[in-house]
Amino acid sequence: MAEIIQILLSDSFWAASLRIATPLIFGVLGALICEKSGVLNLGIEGIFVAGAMSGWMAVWLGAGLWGGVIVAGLAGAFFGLIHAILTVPLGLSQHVSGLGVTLFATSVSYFSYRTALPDVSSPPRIEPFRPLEIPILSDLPFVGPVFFQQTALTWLALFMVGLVWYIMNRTGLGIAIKAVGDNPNSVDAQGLSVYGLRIGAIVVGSALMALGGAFLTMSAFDAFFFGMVNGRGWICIALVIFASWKPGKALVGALLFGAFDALQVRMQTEVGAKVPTQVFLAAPYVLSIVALVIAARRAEYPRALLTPWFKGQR
Amino acid sequence: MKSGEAVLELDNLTISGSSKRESISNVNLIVKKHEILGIAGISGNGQTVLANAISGLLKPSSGKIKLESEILISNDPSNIIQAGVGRIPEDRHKDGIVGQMTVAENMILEDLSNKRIQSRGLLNREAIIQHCEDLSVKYDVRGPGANASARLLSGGNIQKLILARVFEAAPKLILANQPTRGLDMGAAADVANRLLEARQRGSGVILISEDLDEILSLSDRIMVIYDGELKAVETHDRETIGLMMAGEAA
Amino acid sequence: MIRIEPRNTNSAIFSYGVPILSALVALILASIPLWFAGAPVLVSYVEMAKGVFGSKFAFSEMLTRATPLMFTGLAAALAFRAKLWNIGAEGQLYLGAMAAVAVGTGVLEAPAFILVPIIILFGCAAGSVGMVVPAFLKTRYGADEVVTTLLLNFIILIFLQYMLEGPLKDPMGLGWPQSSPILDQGMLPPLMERMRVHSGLLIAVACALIAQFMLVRSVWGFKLRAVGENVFAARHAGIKVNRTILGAAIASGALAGMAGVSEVAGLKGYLTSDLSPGFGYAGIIVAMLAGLSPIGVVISALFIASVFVGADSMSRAMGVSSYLADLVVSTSLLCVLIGGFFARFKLVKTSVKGQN
Repeated sequence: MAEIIQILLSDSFWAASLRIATPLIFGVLGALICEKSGVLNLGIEGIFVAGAMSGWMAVWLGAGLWGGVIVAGLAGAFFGLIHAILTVPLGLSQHVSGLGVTLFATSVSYFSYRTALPDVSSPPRIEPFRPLEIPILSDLPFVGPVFFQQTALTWLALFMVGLVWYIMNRTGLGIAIKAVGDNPNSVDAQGLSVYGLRIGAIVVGSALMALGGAFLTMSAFDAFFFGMVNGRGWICIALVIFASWKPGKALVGALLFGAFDALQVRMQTEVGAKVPTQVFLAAPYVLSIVALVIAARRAEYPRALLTPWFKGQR
Repeated sequence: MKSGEAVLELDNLTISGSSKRESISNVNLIVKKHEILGIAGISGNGQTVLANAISGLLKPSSGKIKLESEILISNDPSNIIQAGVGRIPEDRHKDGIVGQMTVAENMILEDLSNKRIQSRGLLNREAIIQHCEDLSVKYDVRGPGANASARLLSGGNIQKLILARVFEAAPKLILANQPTRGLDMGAAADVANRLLEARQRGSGVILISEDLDEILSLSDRIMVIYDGELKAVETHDRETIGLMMAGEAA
Repeated sequence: MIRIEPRNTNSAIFSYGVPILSALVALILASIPLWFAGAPVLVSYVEMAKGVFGSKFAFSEMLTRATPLMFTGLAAALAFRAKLWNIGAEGQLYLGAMAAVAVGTGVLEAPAFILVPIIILFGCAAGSVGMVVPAFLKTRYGADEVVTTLLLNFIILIFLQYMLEGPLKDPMGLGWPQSSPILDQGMLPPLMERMRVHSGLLIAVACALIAQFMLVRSVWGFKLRAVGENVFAARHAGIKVNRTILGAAIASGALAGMAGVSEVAGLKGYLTSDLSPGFGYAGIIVAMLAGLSPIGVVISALFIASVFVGADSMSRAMGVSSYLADLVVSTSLLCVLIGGFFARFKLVKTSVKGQN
């Protein structure tokens, strides 16, 4: 018990929590935007992979770090567009389309990586994002290391929480997106394009998801590995329900998750001898399921989620 | 037409839903044999939950549903069907048929334990098709045939399919929820005739409708539902009932 | 303006033509990545065909690869017919394999005609448990089974690691994380001499026939289809929805578990953590390509296995990444989805005013 308290009081633990939470923040926000518009996007796992690979590849080819971020975002938008076309105008099963996009994006990424780098035994490295050292603030005790030694992408993620909240709750666009996920007929009756809003939401949401992937290869690590996304996308889908589709709660959920993950890594070194490591490794996934089961009963799904809408058919 | 003993009795039935539209409070009613009880009301005043409770789709918060004095365990439609309640659902496309399955399969949807169409869990295809063809003639269901998807039927023919299913089971009680809504004159007249025939045979019928003409022409007794409360009307006077439907005390 | 209208007929041309056409389109589209990778496109296709039909061995390898895909394809098809989104076949496969190894490596000494059925029974039961849990969480708590089955895949894989490093570890395995070998009399007999194709294939085809029969001719299958096509009407008609979903979950999980049994007791002989290169996920594609028909699963599993085996041998010959196979397979899923749309709907040009 004393060890846990010691861990919880250490600044490095909280810094790690925020770092682990960053890709999840991007992913949950992206999934949230898609689902608010009425479309489940199970392409998320593959879009993470695509973002991680393409962002890294762009940097490796010399596009620069922010160039890589942009490339990752575009890659996410591209795969999101495929999902959008399949599910919105064509109205196909969102489950199957999403899984199809995940498999497609993953295989495109893996194939491209292998084709570009056929015979490398150890993956090449790039110079990743460095922690933003802010004079004075970074040197503050506790707060300094936790907040002011994170990379720019973490700051971008936190900024996005605010931006998505603002757009969803304070702008006409956000109201329209929420309406199209609840009652597309009413949106259509007002002369707005249901297709346009949904496709737009999926494309933007998918771009955000891809940034979560890019964080992995451009900030958390400095190289691309096969299987590095490792279910983070699926965890985001669970977290959206846990966060009841609210950006603020999504941040809290991702942070809690990050904290839990950071704790299990530290616990592993503390009590690793007594408990099999696998218990700690499985903990994040078990936690996601538990969170889902707890949240599912009171979850208020966007009412038109999973329901295709066709113009001219009521 | 002489009335007989009670078929259905609702005893202080209360359902507390998440909104006013989805709630009813202290509903009492009795339907007798050889009787059509009309429940008039504008949609959204609790008809749907009342119908769902009698259909076994909703568990009442309190109160009892009694069929021939037996208390129905009511949150299970199969018990309700077996007890002898036939239901014509409000939304025939959503609750009435499985559109992707065939007309013949939809004919037996509520009767899967019948030994005539299955034995030891295996379906008898010939018997099912024969059953469908017989009923299609008897109830005048027209469409592209027993093996076509039910979704290809017109609204009127879907309703006739449901009528066939319900009336063939010779139910003690029939719950008809907005049974003629959206139908053409011919199909609507057919529905009305079937309900009258069932009354003749001895069934009790609950007819829920927004259509006051329909209620007035078919019902032996009339009640009005407004804001989740059910009130008996002693008259067939159009104006009085109309006012009650709008919530004005008569 | 273009309007979408449902077609009034389900013609056979569409239901058989669409998957075949989609598969062909996906194969043709593979020329794009081939060209990207700098391989001569036509030669590559020839190599791919040779990899499947070039020799008796090549063909038997394709059949070997198709076997687990039939099981996972059936697992997905049955569950999806009930609109139960079992994306967890990968995990259930490993549960089946672990159970097979647990009973088949010496705990139980018995002749083949007893041991083999016991191994199959335990494998299927373990797979079922892996799907019953998420089905229960869905019916009882409303937890979305897509997410729970996906996450369970990761949990089961971690559990597998633990088992292979602990209780199931082969003491004679020189420290490798692998299980002891299944007893000889516990193995599914091979079908051809000196080939790897084994009787798991026959079991898979038999399962497909049984599944098809049950789906079309049994009350169980009737209820499953009714719940899947319209859960509201099914419930209204007195069909017990939760019980039906649970039944679909048991069957689906058992089939996925059988995939694991077949791989470990038919092919490998012992269990490692790379037993399945994603058979569970590929099963979803197999099922979709088959239009969720069990008989169709047999055919589409043969196709997907051909792509995998053909692309594997082609990539070795041409020096192209073997991820090409995954690319073709996932493309065929997207193609069949789009094709399925045009089989069900037609686009109708309407005047700008929009009559009716």
